Amino acid sequence: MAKEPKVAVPKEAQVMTAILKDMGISDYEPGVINQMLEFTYRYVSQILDDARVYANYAKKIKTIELDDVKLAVHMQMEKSFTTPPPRDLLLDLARTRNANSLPTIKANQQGIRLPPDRYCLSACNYRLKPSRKKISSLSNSLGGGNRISLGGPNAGMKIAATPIKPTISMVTTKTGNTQTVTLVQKPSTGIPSGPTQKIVSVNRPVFKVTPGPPGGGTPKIQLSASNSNLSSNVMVNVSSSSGVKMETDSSSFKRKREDDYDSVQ
Amino acid sequence: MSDTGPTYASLTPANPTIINGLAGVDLQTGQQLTTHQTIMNNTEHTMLNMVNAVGVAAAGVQTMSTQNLTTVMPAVTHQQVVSDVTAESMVNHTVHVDRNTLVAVLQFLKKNHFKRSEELVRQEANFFDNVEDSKQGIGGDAEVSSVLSAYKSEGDPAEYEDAYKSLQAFIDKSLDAYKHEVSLVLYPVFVHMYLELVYNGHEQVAKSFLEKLGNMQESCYQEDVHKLSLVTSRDHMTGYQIMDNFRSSQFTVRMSRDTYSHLKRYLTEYGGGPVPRIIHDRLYLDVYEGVPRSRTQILVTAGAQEGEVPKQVNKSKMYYGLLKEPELPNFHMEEEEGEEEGDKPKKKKPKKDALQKSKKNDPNAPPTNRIPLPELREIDFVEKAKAFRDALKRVTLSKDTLPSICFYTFLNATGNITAVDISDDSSLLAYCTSDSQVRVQSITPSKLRCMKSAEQLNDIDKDADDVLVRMMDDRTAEPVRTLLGHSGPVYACCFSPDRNLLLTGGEDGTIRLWSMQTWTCLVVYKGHIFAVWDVCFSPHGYYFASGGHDRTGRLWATDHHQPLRIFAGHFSDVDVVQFHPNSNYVASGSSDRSIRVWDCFNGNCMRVLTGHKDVIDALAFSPCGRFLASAGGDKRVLVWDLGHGHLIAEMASHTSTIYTIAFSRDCNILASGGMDNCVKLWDFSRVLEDNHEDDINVSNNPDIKRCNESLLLGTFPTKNTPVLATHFTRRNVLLAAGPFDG
Repeated sequence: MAKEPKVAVPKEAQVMTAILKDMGISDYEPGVINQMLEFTYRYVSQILDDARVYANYAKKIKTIELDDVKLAVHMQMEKSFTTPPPRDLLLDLARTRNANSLPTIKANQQGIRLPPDRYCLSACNYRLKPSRKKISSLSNSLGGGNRISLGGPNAGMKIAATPIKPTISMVTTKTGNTQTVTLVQKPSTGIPSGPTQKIVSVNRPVFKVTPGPPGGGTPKIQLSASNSNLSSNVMVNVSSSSGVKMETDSSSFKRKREDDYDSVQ
Repeated sequence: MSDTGPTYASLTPANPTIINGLAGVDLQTGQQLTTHQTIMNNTEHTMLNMVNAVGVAAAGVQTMSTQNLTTVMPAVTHQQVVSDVTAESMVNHTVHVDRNTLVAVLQFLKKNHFKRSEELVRQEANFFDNVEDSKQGIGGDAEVSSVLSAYKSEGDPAEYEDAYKSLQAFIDKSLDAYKHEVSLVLYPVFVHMYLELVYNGHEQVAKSFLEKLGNMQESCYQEDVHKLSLVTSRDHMTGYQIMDNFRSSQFTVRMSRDTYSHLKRYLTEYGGGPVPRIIHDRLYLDVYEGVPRSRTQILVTAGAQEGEVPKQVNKSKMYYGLLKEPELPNFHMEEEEGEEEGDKPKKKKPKKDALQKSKKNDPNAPPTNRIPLPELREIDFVEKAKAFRDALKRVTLSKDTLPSICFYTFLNATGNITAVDISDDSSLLAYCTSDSQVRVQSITPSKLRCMKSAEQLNDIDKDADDVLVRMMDDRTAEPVRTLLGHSGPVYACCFSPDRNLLLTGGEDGTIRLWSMQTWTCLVVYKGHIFAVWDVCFSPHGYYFASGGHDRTGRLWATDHHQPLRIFAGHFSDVDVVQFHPNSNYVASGSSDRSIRVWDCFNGNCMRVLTGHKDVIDALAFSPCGRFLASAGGDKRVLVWDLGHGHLIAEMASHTSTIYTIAFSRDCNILASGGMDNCVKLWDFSRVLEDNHEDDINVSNNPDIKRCNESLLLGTFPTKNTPVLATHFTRRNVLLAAGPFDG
């Protein structure tokens, strides 16, 4: 049998292998060589770019000189390859810090002892914006024929206030096999809120769900309505057991239209 | 020699000021403190350090140079008056001028453009070599370069190797009694010779020097030698951590007085070669009275990056006793009821006595208010009572009753799991992965519940006894919970003793505190900028310690966003931290192969324990507080007595790195596990017997309990699972965990 010619390892890869061997690393995945080469390329090109900038600044148009490269290397070292502080600095710092006595613990404090609130992550991280009365105009602009009333038994419609920005945006969540699309929209008047709601009429088309779970379970449909109570955006989850299924390709159209609405917004 | 006209005006504003002892010389010019003074003082400081390096006065070189130091300095401040004096003194001592000092001074003068002074000094010292600072231009550190210039020597490069070889020959010829101790200087001499060769630009000679002689160094130093081989030019020397270590601190060698005089004889015989100079300047020879140590005794403490430790370091008193346990009022009531029953109390009583014997004052225990500790709340008392009850049902382990071991194996997690921790009451298990996830799992049948929302909490009855149960929402019970938040691999996790909080530390340099009731991150502690390798809660809660890549350990409290104490002193990354059972001390193990025990009260280093030959990966304090067990890359478990800082036992049987050790609750068994896929049990009660009642040999050369496979009680191999965590439950069942390495 003719011997198959060995695949030639490119020279850079050979160099990298030699470097790794020099550093005493013998056990590595083959992908590491590629990553190292990529890093090297990126680093060198960044240095040379910086050196070019410095050379231009110093009005040396012709070539990049050694000093430029040295400066570029030095700058890069200070920025990204920092090393821990030197030992004497640490000892100094420690001496200053250790000179303070341990603080006394406040007595009678119940619960978990935490730093002042601004150092904790327990703050509220959203803000409620007041509603705007632009919904009527919006609904007009949408044109007719896009109203869908969802009838049928609604199993467990929940209203939950979630921190969402009050613009029309599309939120796609994938849970397991099902993909649900929720549309958040501005509050529209006239939609009463309440846990048991049979018919909800919304101004926008609702979205489907791509592949339903195998075995043809009910796809989840989610739409958002407003809660006039809160005058903020509320996401209402409706799981309809009426088996409303839609095609996947029609979904893409619908999504495009929703994007259009976004731009209208 | 006299520049008569006043030259104050010509002196640049940056005047270095008065140095000790010559305050009266110049009161007019030298009063302001400038930046140059700090450089000057630092240079002076480091030079004085080098000068004071040797513990015993040697051939008078030091005294000369100190004198020179003080006399040369004023040559700068006062050109006209003192120069005469200086000239004379310089002329008299030309032969003995400490070259390093001279070079540093000349560099300083040159840097600050004191041209005339520089010429003067050069003339007087007959020193006309160029002292060009190689670091100019790219932001070099003046202080660093002037001290590094201490490496500059006029030595002929070829003679270094010969000098080293002759030193070796001398050592080989010495009497056996001295041989081993003197051979300890071989490694530091080698290192400094190499650095000198590199600094002075003799790269080829340096390389061949290293190649020929590097392999002859002890195996524990081979890694450092390898790191040295990467330093091949002067530019490499600055900013490289290992250089930092060798430059700033001295390698310590302990030797007896006889050995020292033996060595001195050789050095005086050799005179001016590089070897005596290096030994004088760069080594710290801690001389003690007594018999020279044997090879085995030396091997015991050898191995740390900076040599051994001088005796004084481990002399301070350490309170290793346990804190007095608080009274448990609720429990006592129950006990009384129990006694009426009859049969049971007989079994209970002896155990109870054993557990509560700490009524009498332990002289080694710290006062309870030494470190402010959080006072116990009602819930803490309940927990303590529960723990006590569990302790009563505890199985006493011994070499005849080995513990049952329950092993938790993580499947499909190769290469991913970095650390595992089990809570004190053994109900929760947390593991951290290299993809920044932290997962908490319940290892009891009860699931993990989330706290109810605020509205729902309003409705519950707060005075009910089981309010803590009611406040959890049963509908959210899940067996596993994932905590996301770190932005890099998470390297350590630790539960708080009341199992309500979890700490994690990761590569992103932050430490996060998570609540086990709301399953959210509460606080992010940012102090280590570099990776955090280990975090540990104190056994009383509230305090925690962390150690990281920046070579420091830090003590924090949960309610302060900055560390309370910084434990600086290690020469390399701090890999593992552990609290003492009385919460007064923190032990830290590092990549520089030493363990340091720090006092939380004032941040001082109480003990430095050397003897490991490789990185330290696990630390455990014995429940009685007196002993510290450590293990790591050198595959041995070492047990140290904290009272004196001596090694008392060494257990070698593992065939690979040991990542975890744990003491049983009654201090009788020590379990260890590591990369060799097995859990080993050691008989610690034997060690306790042998070291009973301060029987420890307090002299310089303790005899340690040799290895002892006899201490090994059992080896329990797993199929292919490295052991990452071992934990004794309150009833002395051993739990272990590790990722299956399919």
